[in-house]
Amino acid sequence: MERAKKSGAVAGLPDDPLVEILSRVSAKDLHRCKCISKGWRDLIADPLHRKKLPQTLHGFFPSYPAESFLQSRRSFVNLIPGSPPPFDPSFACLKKDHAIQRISLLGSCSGLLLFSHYTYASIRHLGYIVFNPATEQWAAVPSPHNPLVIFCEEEWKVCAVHSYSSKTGVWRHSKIDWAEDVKQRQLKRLPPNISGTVSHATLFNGMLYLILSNDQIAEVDVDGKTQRIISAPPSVGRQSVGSHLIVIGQSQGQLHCISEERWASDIPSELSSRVYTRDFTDDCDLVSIWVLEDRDTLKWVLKHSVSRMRLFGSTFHETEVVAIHPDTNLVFISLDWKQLISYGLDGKEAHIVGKTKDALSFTPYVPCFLGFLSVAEHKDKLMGCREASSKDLARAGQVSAEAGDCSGQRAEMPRK
Amino acid sequence: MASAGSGDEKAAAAAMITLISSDNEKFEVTEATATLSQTIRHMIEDGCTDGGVPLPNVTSKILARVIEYCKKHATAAAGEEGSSSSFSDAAFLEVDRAFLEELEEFDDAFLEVDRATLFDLILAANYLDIKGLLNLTCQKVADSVKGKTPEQIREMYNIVNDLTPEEEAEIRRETQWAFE
Repeated sequence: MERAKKSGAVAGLPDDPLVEILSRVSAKDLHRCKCISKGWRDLIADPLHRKKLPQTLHGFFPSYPAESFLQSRRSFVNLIPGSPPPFDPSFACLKKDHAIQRISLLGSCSGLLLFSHYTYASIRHLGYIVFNPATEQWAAVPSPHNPLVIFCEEEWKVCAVHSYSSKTGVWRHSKIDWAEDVKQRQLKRLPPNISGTVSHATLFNGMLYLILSNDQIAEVDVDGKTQRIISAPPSVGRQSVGSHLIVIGQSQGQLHCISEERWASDIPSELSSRVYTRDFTDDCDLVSIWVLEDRDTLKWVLKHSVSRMRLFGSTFHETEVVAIHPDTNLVFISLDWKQLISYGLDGKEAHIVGKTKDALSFTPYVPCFLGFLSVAEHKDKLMGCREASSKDLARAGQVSAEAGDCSGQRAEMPRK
Repeated sequence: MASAGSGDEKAAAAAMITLISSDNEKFEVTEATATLSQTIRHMIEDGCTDGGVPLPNVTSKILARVIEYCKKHATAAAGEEGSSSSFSDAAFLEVDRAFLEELEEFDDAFLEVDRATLFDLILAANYLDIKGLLNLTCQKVADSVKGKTPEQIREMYNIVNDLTPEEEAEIRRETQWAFE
């Protein structure tokens, strides 16, 4: 064939089809492709193409106690040292809008940050704000963009679900009814609640997965309706103390969870090859990463288990596992509230990725360069939405209504 | 091989379009088949298809394959539209599924080509703006890149590495996790 090798063309293909191809690979494959040649590297780095290409975890927003997101100096733990995060770290675009008062970061999903919005004195809850730092677009919920699910609690029990649909433009309110699950003995205890921290919820294939206080996992649809109750993985040791779930997340197209246990002993031989300790005298406080390989049988498979002794050289540190990387075998752990470290399951090595003085939680951020459908008329909505009670402990799952357009994050998108 | 457009089209009266390949071969296709290409659709809308549509970027070999794809998918689209009113929902779903399965088999067989042909199909799909075909062929290449090292991809597609060792080291350092 007379397929001319044009100069500048990559692999004999013009840019457009090559971007089409690269929009269909995983973030991991895409980053590897940067190493192929100058042409590929420059094509992938070109801001023109980033709407289409898969984006990966760029870093974390640390949160500090009792702060307003806009008042403090905003820090960001950047995981890609060579490229600054694609937003203005001062968030000037939110500050200059005087309708926005005091906001606190609740979570992130699909490149969007979700804030709770209060009056300056934090007395009155004004609603929610969804913000895309990469495009500097924001919307007061009811957002024109995404379904939003909010769980409300009363007396420490989850009692109500409010969901907002961008399609119909209306809020729906329902009570959480776990009576049927209790009858079928699927729930261990009644009534569980949802901790609502960032690491305890994840969106995966259009479903929201939430860690419940009784160490089970609820699979919830975008209307807030519970679809299934999933059991936590067993402890690694046949005997152990205080095994519990600490993180749920998506990685490389599979649902993962991370559990912690103390004084694990009598580890079954079929698991021992995946358990990494420092030596035989190790006290076996284990951090274990599990993967749900089969979504039908709901059986967790142990991927990796590492002792705190091996991780930190001592068991005296205050640590908290923060997240699992969405595109590779890395977990992130906060150490003594001072440092964020990454631990690679393949290389079995820990590295410091950032200093985070006294941060209480970490919100992961994967950029998204797609625009909202509409950002008009925010201000009217901003003051008019008081749907949730002040006691809500919210976690939002936003499912992009533009699944087809967001090919960069297809693994997380619902297929409708 | 240039016998496209004969026989099986049920609507004999349907408007026919002549496509002319780079090596001057003429292909007659129905409008329904041709308009899977947005490029040709726009030409028809602008009324500039009389005397045939020259496609100087597409050889007869590739154009024949592209037309084969469009005919199959145009038939499927017509079948879906036509059947929705005359079947009950269940029967419709059944027919629908059979259609999709057949189409999937067709697509799989269609992709059984060598690499040069695959790239030419991508170029043609891109030029003619045929979304389905572009999807199909690009996905095939994307699947071939999956899990491969840069060296393997270079070898597979005959790409010369013009990055300096320093540049390559910098890329690897930046997202080290992608190379583990």
